Amino acid sequence: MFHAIRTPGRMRDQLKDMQTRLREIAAAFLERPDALFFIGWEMTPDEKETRPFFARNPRQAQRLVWNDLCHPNPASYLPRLRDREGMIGVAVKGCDARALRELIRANQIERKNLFVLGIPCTGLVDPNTGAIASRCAECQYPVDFDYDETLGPMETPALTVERSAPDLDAMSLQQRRAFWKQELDKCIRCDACRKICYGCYCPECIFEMSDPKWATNRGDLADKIFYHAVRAYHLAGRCVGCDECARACPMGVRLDLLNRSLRDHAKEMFSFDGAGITDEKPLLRTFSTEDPDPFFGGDE
Amino acid sequence: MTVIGYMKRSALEGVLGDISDKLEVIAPLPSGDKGAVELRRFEKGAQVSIGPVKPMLPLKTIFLPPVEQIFRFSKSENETTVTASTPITRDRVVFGALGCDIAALALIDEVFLREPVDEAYRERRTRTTIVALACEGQGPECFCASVGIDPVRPGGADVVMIPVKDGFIVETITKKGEQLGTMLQGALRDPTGPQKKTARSFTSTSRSDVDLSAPAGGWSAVWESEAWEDASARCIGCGICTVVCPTCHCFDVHDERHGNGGERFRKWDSCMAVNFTMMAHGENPRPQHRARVRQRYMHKLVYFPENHGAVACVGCGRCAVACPNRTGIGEVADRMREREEDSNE
Amino acid sequence: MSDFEPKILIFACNWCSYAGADMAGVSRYQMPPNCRIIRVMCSARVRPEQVISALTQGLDAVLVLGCHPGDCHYTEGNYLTRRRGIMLKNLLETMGFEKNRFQVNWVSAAEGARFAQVVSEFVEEIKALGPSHVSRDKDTGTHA
Repeated sequence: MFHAIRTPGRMRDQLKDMQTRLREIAAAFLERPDALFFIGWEMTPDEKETRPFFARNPRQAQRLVWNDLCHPNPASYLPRLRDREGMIGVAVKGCDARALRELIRANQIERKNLFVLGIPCTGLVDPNTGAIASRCAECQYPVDFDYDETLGPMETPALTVERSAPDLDAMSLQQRRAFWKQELDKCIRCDACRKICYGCYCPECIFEMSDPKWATNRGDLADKIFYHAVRAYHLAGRCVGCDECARACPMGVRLDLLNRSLRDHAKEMFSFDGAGITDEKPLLRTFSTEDPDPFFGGDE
Repeated sequence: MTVIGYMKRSALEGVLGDISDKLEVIAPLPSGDKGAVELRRFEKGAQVSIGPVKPMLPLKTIFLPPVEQIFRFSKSENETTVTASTPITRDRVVFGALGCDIAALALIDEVFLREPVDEAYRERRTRTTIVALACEGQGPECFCASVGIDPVRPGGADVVMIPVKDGFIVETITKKGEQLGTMLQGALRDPTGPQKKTARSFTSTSRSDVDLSAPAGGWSAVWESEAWEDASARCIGCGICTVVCPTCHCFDVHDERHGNGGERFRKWDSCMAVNFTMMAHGENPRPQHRARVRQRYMHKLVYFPENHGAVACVGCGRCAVACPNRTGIGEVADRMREREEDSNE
Repeated sequence: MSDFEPKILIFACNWCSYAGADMAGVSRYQMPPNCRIIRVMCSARVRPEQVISALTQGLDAVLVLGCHPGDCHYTEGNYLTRRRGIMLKNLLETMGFEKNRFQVNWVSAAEGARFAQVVSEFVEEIKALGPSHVSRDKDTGTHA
């Protein structure tokens, strides 16, 4: 399998041990009378990737896996399960934990209804290339959360920061324009990027509204710019950088670059460290009188 | 079916270039830098990517575009002007179409060519010649053999190109195909014996063990089954499965207005979308996620066969490939048949 | 580009900038005819979607005007506007819009001359930039 290329044998054994403990903990949780299910990962039928898995009883907990292919974010299912009565178990790696923290702060799910198992993540592997996933190469985020249990010390990953190409900031305006024309031409407006995102939980999405009808649908570039600019902007200060949008895109549009750019600018302009790290107000619901004022004089 | 000759692979782009003087040529072209391929208009000088990669978007896009303008309208003081749009301006030929996609057209024809006939669709269909690429199976996801489709000489193709060493054996099937065959003549040679033999024995690796049959007691017996809850639990409802499915054909009609005028469009819709069934008065008869998931499979496996006599699945396997959770129709059918206590989707 | 007449949208807050526009009118300042003004109760009421929508549906530029920082009628609305505006401006630049197609500026109720100046300069800048690369036909909303 591809991921053998990157993860050395010693670490694979470690992952295997963690997986065994994950199954034990999930099974123990599912013995509880108030347990609904435990959301983790299982292997896909072709065994090349993982996908979310809802274990409903201790026997099913044996299908859960933990390895360096566990890309999906189990916490992203929680908003739609908020009205269920009972306890939901959920396994979270670092980026998932940050998403979960944002969801709890935004009142999308109640902490008391969750059993949260933290998993120390050492970086995931891109199943197509066998290399470390670009989001993980860029990840330096702390993962503080009041976990119910963890599979080891939840430390801030110390991975080498290596940004995936292209660097939009280094491009000229014309190049950026050409880049997005090429990328957005591929877009088929299927909504996968929106539906996979942990942060897209509005009961009625702006793109589904008919009155007022925000989104136009002529299939041209202007439509797609509206869609992607609004989608990205709605995640400004909330995006945890999990790159699930780019992974879910069937046409391979580089959506991660839009969100990365927003994260970069939030850091540069407002020293905002990233979503799900603190319980302070969200980036765009607060301000500082000392915020830069780049609209005067044009300097930034 | 007539073998009209052998064409070298290296001659293909030149031939398509010549044909593009007379017809609009659509062919699988590289898309992006990750090795993906999509059916696009061929321009002279382009490299065709005919071969082992299946386009993510099926052939239906050529006949039922994702978004199409139906007409424009504008209003002046006393007068409203409506200008109908032209579906296509030139006769077209599609090169390298796959058996699954071509078989799917026959199913969509059932919907759009029945009374009332959809004129835009009909015009695109009649003015397009389809050149199939005999398919040896494009990936592990392929299971067209399971649903009775011949991926080598698919019904509905006008011309078939069968890959042999360094080229193709070209066979014409229909009258339309013969007309196209005359345009290919310049690039054709007489095939050698071994080439003919390869073409005759060409087979596909498509899986034949995917079972879409009904659960015991029929599909109606599982209508209220808890298994749908399981089948929909991990589904995020993105609707990619409907976008990439060669037989999905639901659409929505909407107006884009601007000032005193505007346009009317038809665009693909998806039963996985919340507002697919939303009524103008605000009621949604299919509000639950599990009901939408059930609808998709019931349409493919029950309603379409009831109305048109065939399962609306051609075994291309795109749903499983495109799905962020890699859930395909075969897996769901299996799960519904099992309905065991341990079922979990 | 000298004959290019851009179509520009201005959002002006009720308490300062719209009053500033009134003042500009009463004081008979010469104003370019390219702008349509929409009065909003506060500059923070302008949704980023409205700006993006305008820029993708045929308008060449958008200007949001509010009270000077510290002077907001609602105490802090314009601070929020500023932060959101910065994020939006950067996003638009990342996606290939020129940096000046969307701007935020501050005009108080007393600053009629400033209103005229800010708007005139903005119009001149946009004239120099030419039509937006995604602008649609102004009348039918379709691509020309």
